[in-house]
Amino acid sequence: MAGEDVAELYRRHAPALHRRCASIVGNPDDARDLVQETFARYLAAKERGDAPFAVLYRIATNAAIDRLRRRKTRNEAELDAEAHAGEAGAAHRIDNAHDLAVLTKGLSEEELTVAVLHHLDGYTQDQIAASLDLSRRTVGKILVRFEEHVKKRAARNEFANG
Amino acid sequence: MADRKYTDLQLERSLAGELALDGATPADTARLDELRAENAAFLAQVDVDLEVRRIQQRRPPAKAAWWRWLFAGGGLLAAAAAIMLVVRPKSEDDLQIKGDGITFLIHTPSRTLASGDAVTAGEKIRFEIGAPKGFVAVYGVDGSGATTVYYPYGASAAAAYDPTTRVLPGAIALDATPGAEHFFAVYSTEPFAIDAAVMGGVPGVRTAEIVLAKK
Repeated sequence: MAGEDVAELYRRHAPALHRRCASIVGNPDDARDLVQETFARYLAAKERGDAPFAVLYRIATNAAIDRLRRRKTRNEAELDAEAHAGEAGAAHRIDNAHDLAVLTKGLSEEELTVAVLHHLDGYTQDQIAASLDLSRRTVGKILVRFEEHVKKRAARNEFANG
Repeated sequence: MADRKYTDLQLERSLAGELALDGATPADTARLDELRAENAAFLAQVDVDLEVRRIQQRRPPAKAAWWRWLFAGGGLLAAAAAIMLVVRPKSEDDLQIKGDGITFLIHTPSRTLASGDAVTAGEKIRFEIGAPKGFVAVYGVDGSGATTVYYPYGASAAAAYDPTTRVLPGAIALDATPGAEHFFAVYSTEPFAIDAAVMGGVPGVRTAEIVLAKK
């Protein structure tokens, strides 16, 4: 992709991606850096569609969550997050991006994006489906998988603690 | 969002030209105007051309098909050399940044840093590069967008590199500019101008990158 095309792509999408990243990492400078990383990953991808917003948004969300994971020491973050996850109805009470960063480790880009929209941003399943051009059924399945993922991590934590 | 028909995400897609809004409520329109103003404010504070150059620098290099080695002159020897570079076992292997056939490490006196690690102003770092005999430079782009050549410090041309001395001479103390700083190790078999390499204008150079978060 030529430089002027990348510039046009940047002007069109960077503001929304910056807003997304800043809402997760809480720092506009880090968010700007993550926007660069997002475009670099997008441009390196083999397949790029005519409507790149959803793909860029997924990459940006993943990059921002990944940055959070690296920022906090792993043990400290896992202890915090899995302590929450061990409680009843845990997935519905995750209101902290750091916790989410740890709990979503191992999920796909799409699963992570849906989980963040639902648990961090408060989107309903219908809203996520409409926003990302997914079916309501797909969003529901992804969130079920996420909750199972959280429970497994919680169970593993309980086992490890005897 | 009681009187909204569209989510923020849908409004953002609309502003990006990917979604036509049908029957937007007054609240949707008001939020759309807010987002449009935020977008304009963001674009007013960034140099888009500079951002694009950095994005291009950060793109991973395209990987050549393995079989091309077999048909190139001296291909088997070159392939063997490349495998030696990539396979070299090391306990801190997960911290090595493997660029296009080169490795790049940043050390403090007490630890080896990985991308995403936090560092503080005044902390001293040293660079280590693994590459065949050739020419290298290390430069950084800090949170303010300033570019600094760290090795050879302040120079305009890359320094000769001998693979028997992987840790580069000299240490640098990090300044107080906050935010992410990108460190790039650049290597070529031929001498090159660092400015041209920063702009991505030197064919055949190999680059590896580490991003540190400066507090």
